[in-house]
Amino acid sequence: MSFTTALPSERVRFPLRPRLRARTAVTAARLLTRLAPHRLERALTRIARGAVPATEAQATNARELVLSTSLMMNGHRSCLPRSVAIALTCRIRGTWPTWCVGTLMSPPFSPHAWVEAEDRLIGEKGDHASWARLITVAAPEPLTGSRAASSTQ
Amino acid sequence: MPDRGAPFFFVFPDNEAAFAVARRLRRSWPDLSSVGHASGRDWIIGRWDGADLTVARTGRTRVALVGTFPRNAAEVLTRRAAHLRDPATLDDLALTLPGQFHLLASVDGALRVQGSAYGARRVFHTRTGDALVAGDRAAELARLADLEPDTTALAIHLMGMVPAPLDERVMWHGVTAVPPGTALLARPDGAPRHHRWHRPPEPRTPADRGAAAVRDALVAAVDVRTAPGGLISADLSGGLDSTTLCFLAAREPARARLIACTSTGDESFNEDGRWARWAAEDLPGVEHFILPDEDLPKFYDGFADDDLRFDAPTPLVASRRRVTVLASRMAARGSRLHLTGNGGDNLFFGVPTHLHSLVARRPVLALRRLHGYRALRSWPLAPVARQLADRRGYRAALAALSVRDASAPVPGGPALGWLRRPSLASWLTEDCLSLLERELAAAVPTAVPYGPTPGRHTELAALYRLGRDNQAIEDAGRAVGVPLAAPFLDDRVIEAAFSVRVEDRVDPWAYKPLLVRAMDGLVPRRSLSRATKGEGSQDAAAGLHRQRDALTALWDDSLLARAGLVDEAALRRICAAAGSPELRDERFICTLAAEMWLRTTVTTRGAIA
Repeated sequence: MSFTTALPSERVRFPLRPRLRARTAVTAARLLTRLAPHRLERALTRIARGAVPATEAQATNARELVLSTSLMMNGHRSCLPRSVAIALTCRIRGTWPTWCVGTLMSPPFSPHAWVEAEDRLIGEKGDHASWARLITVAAPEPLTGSRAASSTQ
Repeated sequence: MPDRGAPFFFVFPDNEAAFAVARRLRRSWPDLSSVGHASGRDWIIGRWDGADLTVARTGRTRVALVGTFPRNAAEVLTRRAAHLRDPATLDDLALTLPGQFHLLASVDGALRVQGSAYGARRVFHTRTGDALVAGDRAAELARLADLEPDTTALAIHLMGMVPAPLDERVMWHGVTAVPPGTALLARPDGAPRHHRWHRPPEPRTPADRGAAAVRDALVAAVDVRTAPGGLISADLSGGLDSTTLCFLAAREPARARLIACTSTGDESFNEDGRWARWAAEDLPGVEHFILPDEDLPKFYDGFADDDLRFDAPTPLVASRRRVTVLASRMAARGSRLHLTGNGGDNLFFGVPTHLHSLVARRPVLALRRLHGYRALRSWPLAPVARQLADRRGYRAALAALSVRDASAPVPGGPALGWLRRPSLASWLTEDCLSLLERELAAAVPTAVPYGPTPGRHTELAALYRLGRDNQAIEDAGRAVGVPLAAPFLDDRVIEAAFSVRVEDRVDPWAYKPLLVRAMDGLVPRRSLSRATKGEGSQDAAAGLHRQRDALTALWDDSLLARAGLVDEAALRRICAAAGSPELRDERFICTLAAEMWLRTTVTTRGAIA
C-alpha cells in the first residue's frame, strides 16, 4: 500500500462558490459522522433521494474540492468525514456517488470509507475487486429508464 | 567461491595476557587474518576482505581503517601516524573521510578502537581471563570468552521501543558496548576507558548551505563505493532514497557499471513500481531489473533460518528472504556490492518531535507545522497540547513510563515528547514485567538523553537502533553472496543532514525537503516530486496467515518461555488466530526475533566462523 507522506504544497484554487459548497458539505459531514453507523446510513440514503448518479469526473472534482477546502480532510484517518463530504458536495449539485464503507478483501481487516462512481474508486488505492463493501448508499434507481437513457446519450 | 561468513575482528592490547588469548585463537582458527603491534604481538585478528583493511605503520605506531574508505586513505593515515604520540588525539580524523569504517590505533601499545559516530559500526569489549579484548561484534566476543546470554537484556528487548539507556545493554553478561561517537582507549596493561570523540552538530545551518553539504556528502558516499569499478547493483524501490543513490551511482558511468533493481509488489496498491520505472527511464545506460511479483518472498518466509548469529535480536527475522532477494539475484549476476536506501527516512523524513522545542523558538511556525501534522495524521488536539505543555526533562519522562499501562497507545498517534509510551505484549509473564519495572526504576537516576531536545534524542535513538539492524541486513546480504551498503548511514552524510535547521528538514507540506533540494539537478524533477511512500502492512498480514501453523508450533518448545519471559500457551493461541491485531505491530516481531536469536546463540555457542 502507498500512503501520502506530505500535505499538497500547492493547493488547487477553486472559485468562491464551489468552495462555499464544499465548506458546507464538510461541516455537515462532520456533524453527520457523529451518528451511529446505521443512523448515518439511513440519513445518507434520505439525502441521496432525488439525485442522479455522479460521473467519475464529477466525483473526482468533488473530492479535489473537499481536499483543497479543508486541510483536515487530507488526513490518513479522515476517510469517513471525507467520503461523506465528497458525497454531499456532489449532492448540492444534484448528483450522488456511491458511498461505501468496507474493508480490504485480504487481511488485515482495514476499515475504510470511500466513494465510487461508474464502478470506479475515486482517489483510492487498489481496484474495485480489492475492497469488500459492508455498507453502500448509491443514488436511487430512477423511477423510469428515461433519465438514465437520456444521460448516456 | 566467495567467503560467505560475515567479517569481524578482535583487537588486543599489547600485553602478555592478551597475546596468550590471541595465540590460542589463531591456533584454533588458522584461517583468520592477523595484524601485529610494533612489538610483534597480535593487534587485530579477524576475517575481512583484503580491500577492507588498510594499515599505516611508522615506528611504534600503527593506524588502521577497517570497512569502506577512499583509496587514498592510506596516505592520510601514514601522514597522521608519523606525528601521533597519543591515540586519544585522533578525534578529528574519522570525519574527514567518506565511507563507513572502524578506526584502530596502537601507539607504544596503547590502544584506540573506534566505530562510526552514529552507530553504523559498533565497538564492544569484554575480558577473558586477565585480558581485555575489543571487537566489532558482540556475538564473536561472547563466543571467544564463552559468555552466557543475559535474560534481563532479552526481557528489555521484548519491550519493543527500548528507552535509553536500556537500549545500550548488550545481550551477553560481561560484554560492554561502546556508545556511538565514543572510542575505547586502553593502556598497554589493558585498563579500558570510554572517550567521547564526536558530538552531533547543532542544527543551525540554513537549508541552502545545508543542502549543498548534504549533496557533497552523498556524492562522496556513493563515489567511495563506485570508485573500484566493476559491476554493482542498487535497489531502485521507487522511493526517493534509493532513487537518489541510483542517479548518483550512474553519474559517472566510467566507474562502476550499475544494475538498478526493483521489486514492485502488488501494483494496484503500491505505486513504487510506477515511480521506479519512471526513474529508470531517466537512467540511460543503466540496466533495470524488475523482480516478478510472484518471485518476491512473502513476509515470515524463512523466519526459522538460523544460520546467522547477530549481536542482538533483529526485526529482519520476519523479512530476511524478502530483504535479500534482489541481492541474491544480483550475486548471481556477479555484482560486487549492492546499495540500499536504508537510513534515508531517518535523515530526511524527519520526526515531528522536533516541534516540541521549535514551539519555544519559533512559536508561529511551529504551530502552523503542528496544524499540518494534525491534519495529515489525524491527531486529536488534546494529547498534542498535553505533550507540548510537558516541559519536564528526560529522567521525569523515563520515571513516568509504566509497563502495566493497560491502555495501548494509538498507532500513529502524536509523539512529541521524550518517549513513546510502551505497549507491552499480552504474552509477557508477570516475572518479565516485574523485571522490566525494576530495570526501568534502576535506570532513572543516571539516565541521560542522546540529545538536548526530545527531537534530537528520538532521532538519534532511532538511528542507533537502525545501525544495529542494518548490520544484520548487511550480514544477510553477504550470506546470499553480495555485501549490502547503506551510504545514508555514513557519518558525513548524517552529519550534513543533522546540521540543518529542523524547520528546513521537517515539514508536513513537503516530502523530504532537504533531500529534494540537495538532489536538484542530479535527480530529475519528476522523481523528486513524489509525495507518497510504499508500506507493507498488507503483505505482512498475508505472510503471517501463510505461516501461522509453523509460527504456532514454534512456541511448543520456546526458549523464551523456559527463561520465564513469555507465556507459551498465550502465544500459541494468538498465532493460531493469525488475524489478531497484536501480531500486526512490532510486539510480535520483537518476540519472534528474541526467540530465534536465543536459539541461534544457544546452538552455535563456542564455534567461531
